[in-house]
Amino acid sequence: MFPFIFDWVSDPVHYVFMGSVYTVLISLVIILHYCAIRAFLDVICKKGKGDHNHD
Amino acid sequence: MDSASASFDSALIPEGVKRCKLKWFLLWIGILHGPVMVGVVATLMCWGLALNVTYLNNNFPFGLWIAADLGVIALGAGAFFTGFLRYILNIDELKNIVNFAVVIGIMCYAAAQAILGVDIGQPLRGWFIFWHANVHSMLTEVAFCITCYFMVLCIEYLPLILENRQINKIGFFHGMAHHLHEAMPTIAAIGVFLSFFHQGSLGGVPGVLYGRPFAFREGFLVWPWTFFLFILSAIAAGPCFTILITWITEKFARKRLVKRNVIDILARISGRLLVVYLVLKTIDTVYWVSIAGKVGAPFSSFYANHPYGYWVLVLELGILGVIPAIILLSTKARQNENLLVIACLLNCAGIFMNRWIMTVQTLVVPVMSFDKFVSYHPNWVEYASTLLYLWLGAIFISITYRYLPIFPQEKELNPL
Amino acid sequence: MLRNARQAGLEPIIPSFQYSIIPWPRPGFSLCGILHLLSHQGGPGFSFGGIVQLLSRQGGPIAKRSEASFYEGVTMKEAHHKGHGKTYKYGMVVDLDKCTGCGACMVACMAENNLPFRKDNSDRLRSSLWMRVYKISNGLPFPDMEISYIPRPCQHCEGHGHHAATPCVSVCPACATDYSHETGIVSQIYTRCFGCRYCMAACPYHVRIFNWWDPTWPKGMEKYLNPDVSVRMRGVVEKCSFCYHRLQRARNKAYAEGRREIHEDEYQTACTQACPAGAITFGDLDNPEHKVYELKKSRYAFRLLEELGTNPKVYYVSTRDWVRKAGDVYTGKKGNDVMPA
Ligand code: SF4
Ligand code: SF4
Repeated sequence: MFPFIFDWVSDPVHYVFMGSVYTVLISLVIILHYCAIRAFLDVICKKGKGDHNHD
Repeated sequence: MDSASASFDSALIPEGVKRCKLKWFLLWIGILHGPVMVGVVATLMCWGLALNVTYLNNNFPFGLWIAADLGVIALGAGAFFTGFLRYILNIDELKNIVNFAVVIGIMCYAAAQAILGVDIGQPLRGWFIFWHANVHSMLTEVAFCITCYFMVLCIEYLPLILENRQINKIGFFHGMAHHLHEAMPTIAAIGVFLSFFHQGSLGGVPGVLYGRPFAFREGFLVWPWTFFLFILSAIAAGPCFTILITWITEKFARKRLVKRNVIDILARISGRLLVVYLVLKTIDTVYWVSIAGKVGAPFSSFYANHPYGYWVLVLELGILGVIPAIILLSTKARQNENLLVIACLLNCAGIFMNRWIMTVQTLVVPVMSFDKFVSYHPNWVEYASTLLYLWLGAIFISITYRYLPIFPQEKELNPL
Repeated sequence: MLRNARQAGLEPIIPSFQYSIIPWPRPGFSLCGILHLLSHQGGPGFSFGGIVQLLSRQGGPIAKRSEASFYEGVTMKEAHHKGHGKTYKYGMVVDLDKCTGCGACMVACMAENNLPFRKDNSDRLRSSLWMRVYKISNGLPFPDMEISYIPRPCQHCEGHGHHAATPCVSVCPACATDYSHETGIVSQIYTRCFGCRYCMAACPYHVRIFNWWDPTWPKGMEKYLNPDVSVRMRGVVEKCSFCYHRLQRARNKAYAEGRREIHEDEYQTACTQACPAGAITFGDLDNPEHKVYELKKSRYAFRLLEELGTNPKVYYVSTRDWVRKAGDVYTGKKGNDVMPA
């Protein structure tokens, strides 16, 4: 899981695999934070309230 | 008393829809707790007394648990595939069922992870699979992908929670739900990427076992053919499972929750994919027979052990494959609700049977000439600890259905 | 304690205080001590000892000192993964015409490797045997009936060609089992295995066994356990290690005496020594001075399930045709009406 700390293996599969895992995890964290920050900004700017359209 | 209990949680129930009284709801949840308790006892027995309480043995390291694991993940594919159709291929009608597909997906993936937690001999070391990951092992890929995908599913479920009547009143949560909806195509894309790999890797689990001619397949790069077949069969069966659970939920709710045309789209797509799968699976079977023959294992040797005779093949591909495919392809048959449900049931059973064959029958077939065939059947501990997640899933769906607006068409179909 | 993991050459050869019977946490400050204890973790993990080991693996001062003993110019890690430097290929040749099926090898193995047993050990599907003797017959009626016995340790498969890796090693998700290119031995790390049993599904020889119970011995018998071999906790998979601890001991001895090489008779497995018929021969398959080198070339030599491409390092010799045929993949052929002992 933490290839830099433990047994770093210089093997292309390792790079691709761990690279993908970290990309996915980081993207999810970014998306969540992005949404939370946007929602927070919405609240403090008091705009766009009540006219969202969900589907 | 009655009116008090009826109104006790009415503030949480979505607007404009009718739900049963709280006492009936609690009774239903209470009834479900019976089998749940049996499952909990079985699980605790496995953890406390070690796995000798099961019927697994050294010849059958994999049994019901792993087969069920592969099965529920395949059935949970409805979540990612519906998301793919809705957000990436933009089939707009599917927005009416995609929420529920996510709920079913969560249930399936949570079950899969929990079953694995019982199956492994040292559950407290479960994290070793992440910590000491062997990236060449298909099981590692499965573990990483299903964990990540479970997170994706939770994020997809999050806006549904935030849309609960009371939570949604809070400005921040309202905005968050809105922005999450906006980001859904990206999240769905990540989900599709992850699902593609773990559905495939589950196929790779038996496919790479070159010591077992029954399961071994050659393939493309590092992926054996079963990798692709499993993806295909999962997306062919997943939507059917979504339809099936929707139908069951409708029966319990005693009202229509999703319009027929939405269900029909899923059924049609499922039927077409099933046909493609059956064709490829047949080609794969023929090719595999020739490959296995080369190492000295003729076709007949794989089906020589009672009860795993040729009927296995006939049942899996014929009765549980061709028949649902025909029903799902014919527009007329699809319109008939009973036929549709039967087709979905057969399709899901077929996928489950396929997973059982790829794990358990793989181990049944003796490889050494002087190896004796031994049979395996699960005992009550295995059944109870597996079915536990069915009951928990029912509780989860009941609560979700009661308090969250998961069916956008419910109001329209059932005006108060 | 012995971690067979390090078997593969990672372990700095020497300090024998490491070896204790019971999985025992290393001394020193351990951050996740509780988790380790809970999971019966005996090995280093994050403990102080672990850091030392990590340093030594990455070529720290400790490794430098000991690696000089056997491999010149290569780190032990390299020797392990790539097989650089002097490599060995330990293997076995079993003469099936000599084997009487007495089972002494099974008993010797159980005693040497601290295999647990239960009061009623008759359930062969759940009992622990690293070495197992199969009884096979040609299935012909009385006057023509013949019997042969096949002792079956771990075959220490190497894999080759299309299947570049050992069947069980390539599938283990936690790297709990490894193929050493330096000794040719397939190791098993009991403290890392979490019991998913995928390796058992991968091994066509039914070599790997799972600990369905906590290991127990009749009272007083634990005093007779081999101090060089750790006992395994329940819920993990174990298998024959070619008595790796004996190789370590031989190496330590050689190191203490300033030698770089160990003699053939300094490293022999317990089953080899126990066999009264002398059916088992053990040694370096690549070393012309070792007996196995010639024996494996016999025209009567075969290996089990050779067609699968597992490339095992255990050879069998039999002058009888039907016995050699029985080594093939299950073919449904008549005449192989065989049964395990
Ligand atoms: S015999 Fe089985 S356990 Fe031993 S190396 Fe081969 S596959 Fe692995
Ligand atoms: S049971 Fe242990 S050694 Fe075998 S594959 Fe799983 S973690 Fe690896």
